[in-house]
Amino acid sequence: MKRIAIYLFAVVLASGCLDIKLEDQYSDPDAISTVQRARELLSSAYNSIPRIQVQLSVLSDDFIPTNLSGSYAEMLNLYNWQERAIDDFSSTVWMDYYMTVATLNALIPRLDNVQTEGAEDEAALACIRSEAYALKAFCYFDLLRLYGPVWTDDNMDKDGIILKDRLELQFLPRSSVKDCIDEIIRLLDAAADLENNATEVYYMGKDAISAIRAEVELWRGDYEAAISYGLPLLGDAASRWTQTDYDNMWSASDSRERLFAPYIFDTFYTDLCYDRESGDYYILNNDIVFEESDMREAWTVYPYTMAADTDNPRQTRNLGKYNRMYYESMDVRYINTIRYSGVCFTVAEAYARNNQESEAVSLMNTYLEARGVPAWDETDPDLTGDALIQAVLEEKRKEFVGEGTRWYDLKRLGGDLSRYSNFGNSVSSTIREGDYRWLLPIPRAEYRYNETVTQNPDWPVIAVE
Amino acid sequence: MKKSSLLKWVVVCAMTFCPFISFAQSPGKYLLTGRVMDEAGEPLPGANVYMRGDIRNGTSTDVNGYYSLELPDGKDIRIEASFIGMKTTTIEYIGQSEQDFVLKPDDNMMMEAVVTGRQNINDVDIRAKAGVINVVDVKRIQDKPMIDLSLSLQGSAPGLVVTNRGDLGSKPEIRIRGNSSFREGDTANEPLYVLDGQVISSDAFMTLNPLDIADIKILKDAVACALYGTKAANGVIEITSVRGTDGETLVTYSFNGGVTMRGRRAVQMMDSAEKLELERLLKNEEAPGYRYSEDYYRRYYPNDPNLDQMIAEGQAILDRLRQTNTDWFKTLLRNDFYQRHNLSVRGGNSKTSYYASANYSYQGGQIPGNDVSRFTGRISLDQALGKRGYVSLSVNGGYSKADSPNGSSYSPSSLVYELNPYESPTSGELWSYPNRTYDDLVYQYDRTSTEKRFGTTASINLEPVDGLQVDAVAGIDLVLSESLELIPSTAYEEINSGAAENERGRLTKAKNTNTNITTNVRVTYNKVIGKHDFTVGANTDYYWDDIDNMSLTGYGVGTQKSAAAINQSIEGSRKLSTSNLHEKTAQVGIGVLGGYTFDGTYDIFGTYKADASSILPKDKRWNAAWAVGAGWNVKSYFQDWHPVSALRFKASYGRTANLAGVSPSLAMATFSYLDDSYGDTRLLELMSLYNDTLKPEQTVSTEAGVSFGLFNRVSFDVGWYNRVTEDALLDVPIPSSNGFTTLKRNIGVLSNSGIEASVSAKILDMNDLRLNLRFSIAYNRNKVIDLYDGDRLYTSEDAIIPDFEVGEAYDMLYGPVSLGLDPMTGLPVFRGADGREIQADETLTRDDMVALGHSVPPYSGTINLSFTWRNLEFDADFYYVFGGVKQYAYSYVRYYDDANKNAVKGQVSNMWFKPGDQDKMYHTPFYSSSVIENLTAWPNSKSIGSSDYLRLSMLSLRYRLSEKQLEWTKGAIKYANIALQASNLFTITRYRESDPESGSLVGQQQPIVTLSLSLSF
Repeated sequence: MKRIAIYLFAVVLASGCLDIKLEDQYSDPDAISTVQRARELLSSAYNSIPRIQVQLSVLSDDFIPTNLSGSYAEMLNLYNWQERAIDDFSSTVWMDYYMTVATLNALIPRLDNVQTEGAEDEAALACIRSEAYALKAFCYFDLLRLYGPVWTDDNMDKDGIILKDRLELQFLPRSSVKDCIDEIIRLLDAAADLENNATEVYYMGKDAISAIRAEVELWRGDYEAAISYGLPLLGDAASRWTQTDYDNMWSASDSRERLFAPYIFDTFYTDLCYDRESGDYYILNNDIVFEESDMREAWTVYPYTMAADTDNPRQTRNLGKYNRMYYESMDVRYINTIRYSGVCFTVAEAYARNNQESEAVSLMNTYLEARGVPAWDETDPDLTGDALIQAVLEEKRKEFVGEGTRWYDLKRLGGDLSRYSNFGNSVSSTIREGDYRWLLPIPRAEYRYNETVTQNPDWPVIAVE
Repeated sequence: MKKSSLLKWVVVCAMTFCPFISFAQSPGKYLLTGRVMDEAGEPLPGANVYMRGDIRNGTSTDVNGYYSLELPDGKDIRIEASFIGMKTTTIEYIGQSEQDFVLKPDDNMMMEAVVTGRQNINDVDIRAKAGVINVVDVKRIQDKPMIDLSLSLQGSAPGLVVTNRGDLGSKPEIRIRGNSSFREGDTANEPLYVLDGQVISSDAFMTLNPLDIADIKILKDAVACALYGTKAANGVIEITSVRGTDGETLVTYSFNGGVTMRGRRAVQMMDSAEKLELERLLKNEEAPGYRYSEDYYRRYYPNDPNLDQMIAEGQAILDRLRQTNTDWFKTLLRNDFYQRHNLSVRGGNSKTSYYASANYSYQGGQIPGNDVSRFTGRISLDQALGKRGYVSLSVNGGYSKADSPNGSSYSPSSLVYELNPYESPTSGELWSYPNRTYDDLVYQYDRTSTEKRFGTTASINLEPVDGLQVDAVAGIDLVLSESLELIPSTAYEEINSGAAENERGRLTKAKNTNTNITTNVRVTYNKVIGKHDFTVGANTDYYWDDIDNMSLTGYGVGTQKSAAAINQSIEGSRKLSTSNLHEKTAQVGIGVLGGYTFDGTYDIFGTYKADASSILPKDKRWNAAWAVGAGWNVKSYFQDWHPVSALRFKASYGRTANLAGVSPSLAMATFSYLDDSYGDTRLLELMSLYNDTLKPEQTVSTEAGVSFGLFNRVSFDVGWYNRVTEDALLDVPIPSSNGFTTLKRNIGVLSNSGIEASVSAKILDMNDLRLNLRFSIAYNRNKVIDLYDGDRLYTSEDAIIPDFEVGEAYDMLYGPVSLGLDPMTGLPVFRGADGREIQADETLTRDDMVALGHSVPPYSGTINLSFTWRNLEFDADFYYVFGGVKQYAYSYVRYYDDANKNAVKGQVSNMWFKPGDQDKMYHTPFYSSSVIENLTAWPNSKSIGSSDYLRLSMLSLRYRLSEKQLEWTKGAIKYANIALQASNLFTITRYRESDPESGSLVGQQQPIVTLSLSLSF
């Protein structure tokens, strides 16, 4: 009996030893207990930002198809805005953005439990918190622009996106566009109020937060606010727009043109190229033309000879940038996501819309001069009103072609979008302004399991029993 | 002492090697035959029968308890029969020709008998009276020439279902009474493996040497399993190893050598003439049959002045192609060989005994480059501790290596059904694989996996006071699995990857270490007071499981299969990457048991075990497994009425929590590092969306059975069970705005019920001639009883058919009823729910789908046959399954897009090509994408086939050389036998395509025929 008693005692003792610490896994309650771990978790949120630059560019008017486009049916269907292809694209986009949001939702409440020692730790923690808020706002803003309607008085109460604050299973409805914007502004304010000393370009620093804010304000039509957030960033812009900084953007080197550029170890932007010998599925749209002196051309246009058929080689203007880096086997390390020139276009457009046309032209001229493009004439009657706005956006298109920003502008500005046959020989179809497809569909993986969510107008819903 | 040890030596030798031994009668000698049984009339195989005072003159009983003994003419002869744990019985020989012995248990025998301690200390006697335990006939397993122990268990016990899953060396699926969880896969449904009381991994089990195994028990119901606690929710496979003996040292060498064969042709493919004709009809210019046909030239060059010449030239090319008829089945697959060498030494005395063995086995697979080889070794030592106990030690190790040329993205085995008959290994660029030659298809991938196993177990069995047993076992089992995978730089995939030359060649090296530590201490007290037999016991055990996986993948190795050759200067997507997962779990348990038997007639048994696992958070840590059972031995009422030789009822009920497949990250927020980085920062990632309300599954089983014997010749065993899993876990899809697509949740209740029955009969039972037959069948049915959220559950957002539906089986295959092909369109027409015809381009709804059949066959069983005639023994095992259906992949039917690959014989006449084609099997090759869904998304009543099959899984013909025949060796060779053994010789099935078991065109179990020789010195 004594023996049994000893064993019983041993068992009780042993059951206390079941709290096994795993060296490569961290479980609550003290999973995120140090500043370093918080930073590492935040990094995985950065790392999971969806990389949809190719798809968004294909959906926009940046590209035209080639004779190879047919071999990549999925992408060609996307180019032609086929419902099914957009649906598939939408389901990964939605999922991936919310994955990033989920990681941030895991991080933010756990920041309260992080142990800090000294002021340096405190500052680092504040910075992490600021970045987390900003990144969440960034994701929400992208989602809102992809899934929600554009900002008008009529649309304010329409469905925006799902605002998710907690890391747990929830079945949430979509919030109104206004509530979404309020949340984005709230997050950006919270981010800006915190001390943010992030220096690496792949973290969201103070300036990146202001840049996002400027773009949000432009999007919701508060032009003065857009100018007030954007303009301070452009104080030394001219010194950033050098040839070296421009060239370095398409390399693993530092470029002062970058405001926020997620770091990447993987391959990037490989979806455009069929193979290095045959050419690309899509090439630059014919209406993107550069002046001879324009320093952007060298890195935007990649001259190539594609064999349309064996006997008929064709000189083509393939996309340069990351695509050229792929051809030349250069490593992509930074995805240029927010750039100083982008802020410049935001402010210039805000000026133009805010009846400060001369400010707009003068700001643009600083930029154009730096890029080696003849300056605009302030007195040119063609550079007023809508024409000025168009001109700004035309330059923006040249600067950012292939980088996935154009689609957002097309959606915001309205207007028809042409789809071309191979090499742009003819217009094959037109996506009208107000077409239902400008709002991406809520994916099946959401609405099938969430009865509270509503589908965007005209998109099919598979019956749920 | 000397004599008794010698005698026992004889017993043991006889037990091991010649249970069927018999002697030819010779003049001047007399033959005594008969049977040795226990009190219940059960035969005692391996009992020893001998002339008292002359141990040289003895024999032992066969598996059915029969013996025949040659006696010299003489007086005063006494015959003794003995059996371990039984009282030895002596009779006087007075010239009778038949003599049966009934041996009684010897309660004091424990201290004298040469039994070693009980290795599986949870194998308490009382358990067997109420629990359902099947004992595997290990001899039959040993007779199967197969390298994989788990596959050779197929058909060895009703309800134990073993399914081959692919090529040689891959792990089969083992289930006891079906899946107990909604979750698929091994981690949630695999049984627990216990070797001599020590928990081992399924990988370790796979590589055990069958000849080192003395017995395997399959524990199926709650009563039998509950002693193992929550680890045993999926049943237990309990293995006992061969131990030493009290007797003269016996050295045995056995050799098996033979041929492994290509096996059954999954489908007959076309010859060149038919293939070229098919190509012409499919009109794809990627295929020569159309490209060089008259049709082609007339269509594309109708006005060419040289048209006739072009046609003639095309004809000449086609004629040349027709000359070649490569049989790729024979070209790519091969016959190889099988061999097994086994050397064992066994011996000892009444205090100390030992067993040591070494084994080498090799089996070649069907595809060159696919083979398995294995070395194992085992040493065990048993030492008596005074008169009251034993200590046992054993050490075992193994090294096994499996090679495979089949990768995940590429499998040369499938080329058998893709390459065209008009192509050959030397024919240059292939039509079936444009831009590639035959050499670009083979040697593209190479994988070697090795398993190094090491285990050591120590146990102590003490009986300090009569009736009180204290048993303890502790052991460690370690399996180091390594794999080395190479895609050489010369592989087509690498050459065309676009990577620079010094970055080509991918190598993955993985090392997975799985360590199991077990300790178990059990105290059992047994007391008999008159007719009352009480047993009480308690135990405490501790299991530690440590899984440490690490792997690295690098590039630039060229063709070198070495991690050292990785080019570490590569940056970007081809940079060297490593990954690591280290998971440790521990479980502490404490259990009690009580049993009572009245008058040898009524048994009741109960057990309760509480286990605490590190997997769950503190507040949910303790979970219980308990069971109660009762047995009623009706036979004890009519002991003397012989027609009914046995009648016994059993029933049990139990409840077990199941933690299989649950990891800490599912219940609380757990983060781990990715093998990537962001800038200069590591990436810490949330492993999964956690569910803090997660509970373990609860398995409730109810069981009833009856055993029945007639005239000691026929015995029946019938059992019914119902196993209900409550709070069943499943990865349930959730709205993706949660950031994850699935969450592990307790979703419902499912049941698994079935009937298992077996009959064995002694058809012929004469001295020289015996024929035994055994027939078994198991039926398993599963059903969803309840789902907590609604009546249906769809695990995919695209599904229109629920994966789980209340009241339905969850392995059901759904699809529409096909009414055959429309002779006008060549597309299938389906019958809708309302009876109307639905065309292929219409969208089908849930109501149009009907249940087509079970994807897991509900019935399985075996037929075992044993036939003995003098020194000749014949055994055959058949294994069958029926009641299930499988969808035909039709991957060998070619349409326009894949017209350049070879097709099934007869496709030309069975395919619809033009309006008016009646009664065709395969739909039109020309169709628009609007019908794709209905053609490919689900099976229909015409695209499935019954997966029933009957397989001759083992065949053995053995001849035992008699003592006389071995006389010339002057005693050097004590025993010898030779045998012809075969496994998986043939499979009979109605399934038209591939292998009804694995469902793949390649990777069926291959037939093996061997010759074996066993010598004992």
